[in-house]
Amino acid sequence: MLPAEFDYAAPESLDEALALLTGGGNVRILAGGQSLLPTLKLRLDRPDLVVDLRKISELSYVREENGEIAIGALTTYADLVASDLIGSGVGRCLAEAAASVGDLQVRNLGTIGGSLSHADPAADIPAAALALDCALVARSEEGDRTIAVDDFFHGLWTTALLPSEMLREIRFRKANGGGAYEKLRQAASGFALVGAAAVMQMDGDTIAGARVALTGVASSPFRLHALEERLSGESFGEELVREVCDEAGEAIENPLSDVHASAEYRVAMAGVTARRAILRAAG
Amino acid sequence: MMATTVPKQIGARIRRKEDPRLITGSSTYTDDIKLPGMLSMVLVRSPHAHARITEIDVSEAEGMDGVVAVTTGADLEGSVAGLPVAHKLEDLKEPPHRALSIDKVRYVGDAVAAVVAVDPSRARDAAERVHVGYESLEAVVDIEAATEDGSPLVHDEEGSNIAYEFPFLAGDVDAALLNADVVLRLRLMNQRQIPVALEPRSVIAQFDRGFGKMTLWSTTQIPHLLRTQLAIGLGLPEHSVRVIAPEVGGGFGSKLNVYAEEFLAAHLAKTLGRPVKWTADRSEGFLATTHGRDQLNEVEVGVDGEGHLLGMRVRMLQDLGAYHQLLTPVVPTLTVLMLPGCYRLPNLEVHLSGVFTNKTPTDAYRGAGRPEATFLIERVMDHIAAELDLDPAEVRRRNFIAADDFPATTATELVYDSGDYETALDRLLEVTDYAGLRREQEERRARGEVMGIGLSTYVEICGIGPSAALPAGGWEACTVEVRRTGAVVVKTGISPHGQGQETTFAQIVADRLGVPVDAVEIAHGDTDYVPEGIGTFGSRGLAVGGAALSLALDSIRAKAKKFAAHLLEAHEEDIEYEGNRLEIKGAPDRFVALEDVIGAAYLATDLPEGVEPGLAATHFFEPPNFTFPFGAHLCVVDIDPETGEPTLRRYVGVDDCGNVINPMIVDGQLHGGIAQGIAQALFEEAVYDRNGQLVTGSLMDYALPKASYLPNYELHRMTTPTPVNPLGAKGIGEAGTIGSTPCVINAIVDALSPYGVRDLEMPARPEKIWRAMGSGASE
Repeated sequence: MLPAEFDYAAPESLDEALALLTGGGNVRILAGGQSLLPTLKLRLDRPDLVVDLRKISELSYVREENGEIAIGALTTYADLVASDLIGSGVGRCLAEAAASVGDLQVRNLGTIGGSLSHADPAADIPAAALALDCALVARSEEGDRTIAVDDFFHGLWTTALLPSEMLREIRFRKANGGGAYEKLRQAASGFALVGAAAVMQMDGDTIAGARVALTGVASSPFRLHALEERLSGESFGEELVREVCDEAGEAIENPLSDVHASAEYRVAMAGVTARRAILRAAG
Repeated sequence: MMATTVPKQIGARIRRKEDPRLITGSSTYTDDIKLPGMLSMVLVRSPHAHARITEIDVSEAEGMDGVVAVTTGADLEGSVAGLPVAHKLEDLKEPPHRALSIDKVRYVGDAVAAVVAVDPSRARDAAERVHVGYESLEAVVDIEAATEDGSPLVHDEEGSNIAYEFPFLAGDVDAALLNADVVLRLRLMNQRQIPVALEPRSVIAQFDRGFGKMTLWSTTQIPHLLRTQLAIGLGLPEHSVRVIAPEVGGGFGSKLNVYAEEFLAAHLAKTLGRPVKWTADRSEGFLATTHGRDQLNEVEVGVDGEGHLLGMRVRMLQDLGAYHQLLTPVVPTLTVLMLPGCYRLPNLEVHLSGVFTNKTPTDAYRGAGRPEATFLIERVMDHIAAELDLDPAEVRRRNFIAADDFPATTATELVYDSGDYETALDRLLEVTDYAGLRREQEERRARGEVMGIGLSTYVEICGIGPSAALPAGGWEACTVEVRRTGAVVVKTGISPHGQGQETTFAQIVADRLGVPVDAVEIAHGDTDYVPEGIGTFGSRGLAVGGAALSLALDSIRAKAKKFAAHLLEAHEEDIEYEGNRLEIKGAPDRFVALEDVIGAAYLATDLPEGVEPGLAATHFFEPPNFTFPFGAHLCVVDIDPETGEPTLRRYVGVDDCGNVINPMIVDGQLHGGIAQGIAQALFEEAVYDRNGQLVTGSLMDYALPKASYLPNYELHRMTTPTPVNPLGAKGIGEAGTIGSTPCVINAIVDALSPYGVRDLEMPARPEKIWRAMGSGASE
């Protein structure tokens, strides 16, 4: 498990790191390294330059600003799990997603920005980011560019980020309501066979807003728009949620099928996990 | 001198002596060793399951910076022999298994060239630049298709993929099935598994030209057998080969072998005159270390109306993979031997065929043939119960070999040493409140919950074994040296790699010689320091290696008594040796301590007549029989009716491995063993696609059990000593694995019985369970 030769830089500042991104060649950003390092060791990727962000400490934080929760891109899963700011309310779907990642060693190293940028189709964090309607702040030498999470994922390991950009911050509104993440684990990797993140905003018994996203089911995480619309404005009830979720699978295009689960099972489990997430998020 | 009393150590739950160095990273594994001038070897492996090699162009690789040599199979002809297979089978096809293939590649991972460079990165880079031309051939992947006429051949010159046939017949199965009230037919697959030891395989070879001496460090379970095979394979005298197994991080049978990399590193170290190291990376381990199981059984079994076994016929297909490794064809013969399990089975017919396919060779994997047998007969028991509407516990009880039938001869002509299967089952049913569990199940089912209770009563064969039953000796050797400072050095021929014998053997020495456990050093795994031995496998470390130790301790004690008698001017037969005190029977104030004896033995100024100086002894132990540990396991599984996910809520075992030296270590072996057996039932599966590509070739896709997937184990013990060895100990390394797989599958099938389910193929992944409950389209 030895990577092909590459150049390595560990810049002291974000600006220095951004300058390295535009130097030409295949440049990879090393954050927690939980996906990148295996990829390099298996020689599935042979970058010319690896830019290690280990010395850039200012991108690790969770704070509240103007009614929003702002999370530095280098915040680890373990820090997300430990944060009071996201452990309750809508943010709980993110905390639960982070808690379900890998094992303790992985959670101590892997980062929220790394997960989103890597865009693995079965990663947990992207579903939570979609449910939370996150604003993703990308930084390049040109400055900040804010990308709505709905526009961020473009397919298998592909995002809206330009080669010159890296994620700097992830923000979401601190709305009233609840969040939850439900997942069936792929037993070997611990990734989601199917994962569902839900954010439910309630006005008494009425569903004021619902955002539900799935991961592990298709080449990218995605929201269940039709389901969200059917729930919005309705008065909350288990029967309604069950009915809506039973039909949720119909909206899934090109569901994944592999050695771990068939498309049929994934689609069926999408409905089950979505329902369980919605019920807990609303509860 | 003061005599002290040492508390009894045999039977004490003391912590493992080896653990502090292991858990603080203070121990040395093969890959930790760095020798001056050492080179790195990387192998070029086939990406094809089956292909003809049309050319190998090494010129670019040879010219790369830091590359010292690139070797192909053609370079080895005449100087490196093929890899050995040890067996006593008749008419076994033994196609050549070269360290580097020359004509065809026969599985993904088959090695075709070795690159040696100054460091592993450069060797790896150069390996990518060895250009191998392949003409792809159709791969033989499915074991049944492999036996059909017209199947592509893994070894063309053999004319068939069937490497051997092993027929077995006892009694009259035709008549038994004809007279049976019920004949059941089962098809049971033991899926292919991949042993994943924490430490990947690694080897270093160093050749001393002056002495003509080859030293090989290897992650092996069998340094002595490897020494002999390496000597044969490279044409060296055996005494010129030294094999060292440093700390070895687990093996589970996958390091009970002689591998191509061991021959290659040794050959290259000799020809290049510099030490050569090879260490597998994890991906390579998945492809090029032996796999386990992969056995298909078609069973016909006849019973009478009360559920008594009358006769059984088994058609057994064993996937050997592409080549024989050391014990590849032998492993399934253990399945045949153990098919009767704990039961009276008067008529048995088996037809075993070993079949070559274009997959990684299979070989011993924890349990090695016995898990397959236990799975088969324990599934049969539950099928009988389901068919006759009997409780599965009752079916087992009706068929058990009775406690007063021991020693009991089976249809397969094994002699079970000792046992009491019914008492084990009774204890299990009592401690689990089995009747209460069944009531709970009824209540839960009424509420729409899905709960299952699984039983498994197992017996297994270990303490391997009598030399007559093995191709290369089944004895064990041990030397005990009582040193001048009072320390005791034990040189054992077994080669523990996680089993804890540094502790258990020290406990035995402590009690028998009256020294503290900490004063005992257990040396192993170096064929120059410990010249004779066989190794650690087949749950034999204590039952055979410990027995050799016991014989050596008998000699030491006898000699110590001679010295004591001489010092006390008494008769030898009047000396009692208790603790470290050797006293005159009936006159306890007249004694000497062990240290007085040591002084007399080594100063040798006043020797008893006819007694040699020194206090050391070497003994070989030849076991008169195998040992047969047994037990009864029960587990409770809850299944999520919406997702099919099973949760093991309880796992309870009553195990009997004869006398126990250290209960904590026995528990630990059971914990690990049960986890591995559960893993076969629920998680692990080596999947090949139709082209022979290993789809589950990494830990991202091959599901090892994680601690969070497993229940707490409730372990209870019975003790039925074996008469086979002086310790009365049977062996516990594999029992947990053997007992647990059918226990879990029986629980899942029991849970699903309201859905009309009688069988479920392993591993019982959630989707399979979900489908078995009637969800999804039928496949």
